[in-house]
Amino acid sequence: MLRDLGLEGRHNVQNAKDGAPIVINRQHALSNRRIKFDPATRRITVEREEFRSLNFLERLHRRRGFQDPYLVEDTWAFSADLTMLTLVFWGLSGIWLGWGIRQTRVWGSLCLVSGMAMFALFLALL
Amino acid sequence: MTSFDRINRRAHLFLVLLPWVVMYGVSSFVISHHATWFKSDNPSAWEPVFERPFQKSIPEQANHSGETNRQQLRAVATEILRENGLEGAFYAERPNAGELRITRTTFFDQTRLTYSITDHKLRAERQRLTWDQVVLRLHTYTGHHQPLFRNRLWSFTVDLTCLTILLWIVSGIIMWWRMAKVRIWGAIALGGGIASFLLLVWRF
Repeated sequence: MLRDLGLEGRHNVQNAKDGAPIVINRQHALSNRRIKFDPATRRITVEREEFRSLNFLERLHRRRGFQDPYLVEDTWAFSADLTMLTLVFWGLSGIWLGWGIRQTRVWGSLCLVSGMAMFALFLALL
Repeated sequence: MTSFDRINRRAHLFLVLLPWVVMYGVSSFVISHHATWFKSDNPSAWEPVFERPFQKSIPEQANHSGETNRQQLRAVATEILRENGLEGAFYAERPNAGELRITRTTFFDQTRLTYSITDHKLRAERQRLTWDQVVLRLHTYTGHHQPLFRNRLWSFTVDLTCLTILLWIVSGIIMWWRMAKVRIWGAIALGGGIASFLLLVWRF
């Protein structure tokens, strides 16, 4: 049905029993779509969720890939993986760069150690 | 301009939030691949800690949903935790009319307190978290609504980490713009990144 409508992508289906309408929730980053097909009347309706910026941001934050057979999902998940690796690389390469600046080595080391101590303290206390 | 550049570089260097940045990077990767690569086989068992007689009146409102009632429930749960020397981050629920359940959480374990309203008994059990649960908890932990100052202080450092990442990005763009030699390649990379992001959001 999604393919026929040109709406292929990540979705879930609310199971229809005894001829009740089939409801498909097509998840989309901007706004979800709800597709309802009533076998009795052979009518299909497509509704678009109202755009809300907070929902949009939360969907982007929680979106994962690699579970569904869609290239766009996997591409998103791959770019998210790259972002995570970049974040760790940014952080750790900063130590390398900071160590290379002789004038600020002491203060930089002090900041690094105090950050690690603070994090360790939180791990112990919380 | 020199002073701005200096402040910019020092801000990159002297921010003490590196462990949070690394933690969010690593934990995001674990969450992204949790079902396939990182899921522990079995959660640890709940071990009994104590079971003892306990008397606490539970307000009727704490039995219902809604914000005011949720606050009532949390207030009672805070008192129970304090009276048992277990103050800290928690969530509370009423699984049925005769029970109040409080789950006191830390990064490495959780203690489940079940207060039987009809029998006036309090039972405590503890569960050690598996390593992947620890990582998930570090990633999702929020302390703004929790009772202790140190819980809220953690949330404050998380807010600072978010601002730091944004500052890194904006100041990185400013530093790159000042480097005439790499301006073109940087612009291609930046433009390509923005375009591919917009394309993915549109096609999702």
